[in-house]
Amino acid sequence: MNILKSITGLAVGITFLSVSAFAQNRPDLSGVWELRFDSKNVPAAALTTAAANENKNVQFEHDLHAVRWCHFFGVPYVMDVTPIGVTQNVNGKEVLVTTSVRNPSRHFYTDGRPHPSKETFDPVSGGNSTGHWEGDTLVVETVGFSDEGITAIPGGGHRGPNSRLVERFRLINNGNQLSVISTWEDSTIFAKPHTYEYRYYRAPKGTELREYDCNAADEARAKYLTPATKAASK
Amino acid sequence: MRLKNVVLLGVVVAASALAQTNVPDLSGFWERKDEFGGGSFGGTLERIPRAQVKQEVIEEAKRQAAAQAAGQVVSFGSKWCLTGSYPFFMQHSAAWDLVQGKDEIVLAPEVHTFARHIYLDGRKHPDPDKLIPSPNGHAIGHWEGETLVADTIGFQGGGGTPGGGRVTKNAHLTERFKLVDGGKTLAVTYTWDDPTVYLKPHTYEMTYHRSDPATYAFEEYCHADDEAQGGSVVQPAQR
Repeated sequence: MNILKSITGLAVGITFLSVSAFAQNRPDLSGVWELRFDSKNVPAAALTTAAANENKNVQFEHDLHAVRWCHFFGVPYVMDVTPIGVTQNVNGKEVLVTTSVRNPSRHFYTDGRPHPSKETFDPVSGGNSTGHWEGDTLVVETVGFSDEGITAIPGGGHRGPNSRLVERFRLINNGNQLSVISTWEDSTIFAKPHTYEYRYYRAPKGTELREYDCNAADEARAKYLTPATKAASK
Repeated sequence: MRLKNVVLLGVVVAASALAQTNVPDLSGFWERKDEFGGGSFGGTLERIPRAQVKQEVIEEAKRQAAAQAAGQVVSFGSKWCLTGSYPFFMQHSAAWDLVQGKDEIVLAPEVHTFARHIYLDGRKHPDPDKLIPSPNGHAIGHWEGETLVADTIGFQGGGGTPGGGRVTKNAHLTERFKLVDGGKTLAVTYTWDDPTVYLKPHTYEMTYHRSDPATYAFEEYCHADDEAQGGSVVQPAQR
């Protein structure tokens, strides 16, 4: 009986520890998430006068150039490539977003670190992201953007060195959907913070990301992707 | 009887939880550090044993070398920033991040290629007829004690391995990841098997050093439209 009590105590104890550990854990956002026809709610951005007066062809050619030459596309474009993969590290220190295009993954550091110093950090297409949990919502802040890649932002405007992005990731619909509310701030681009929401659907179990390769040496592809304005000027 | 069931359930739940959690945490940024040799592109790789490859593979390599010496373009992978097929980023000097999820481990490189997913949820490789070859191939893994064993097929081919091996669509790679030196380093043993290339499986080990915990990912971009990129490779006169 004593042995039985001991086993019971051990089992309950370990179970308790496990449950306790699970309770401390945050929602698991891991999975493959896809955009569908009704996944986007994107209002028009309120742009500054200067941004509103920018030549839209310049933006178009900038982004097409990145595609033609297989540059890293960066944020926010990679969130538009469906599906995306989310992998939440079991140690709680990082959440990774992967994509099917040839692009670095997005790293959300959730270990409490600050952003690196501006003096030492070289801006990149995906910026530098830190995250923390507010209840069941993962709040991610990204700064340190370059003008590398596809810089257009859904709803209007584009990212740049002064841009700051805050994203709120939260499971909804019993975990079958992932809501990502994005808010861009950049006083040189937006007259007020620009907010939109994507609602991704959880892909069927076993869904895997593809690897869509990019070949800058493909002449036919290059010809197809050369902006019409540049082709006409040659 | 009821108590017994509770005990049994508790033991099963606890054992299951422990089984999931009682594996080494391989997470973190890992990087190659050459303690000898000529730097990032020498040193460690020079000590990897030569692959024993079939005669036709040697002949093809000679043919390509002769063609290049004669001025024909053999490969402009660097100039055009072509995708670095696996295991390119594992031998690159840039660090890569290992993220350990519940159902998969992801290796996230900084260079121009894709994140590599190693699925741990018990899935099998797809039917070969439905498997689309890719730069990283299709990888599934399991734990053998403290060692992560990854099995990969479905490479698109075209790359090479340290030691002079070749990666083709027929390649089968087995990797064993294990923490050593108190978790400061990660040893990865690679075994490439491909009857169209090797006379016997090509096995070698590489050791990666754990980066500082504050390490963050960088983007090592490659711009094919930058003339300096083309100038960074020794190119034969084209014809």
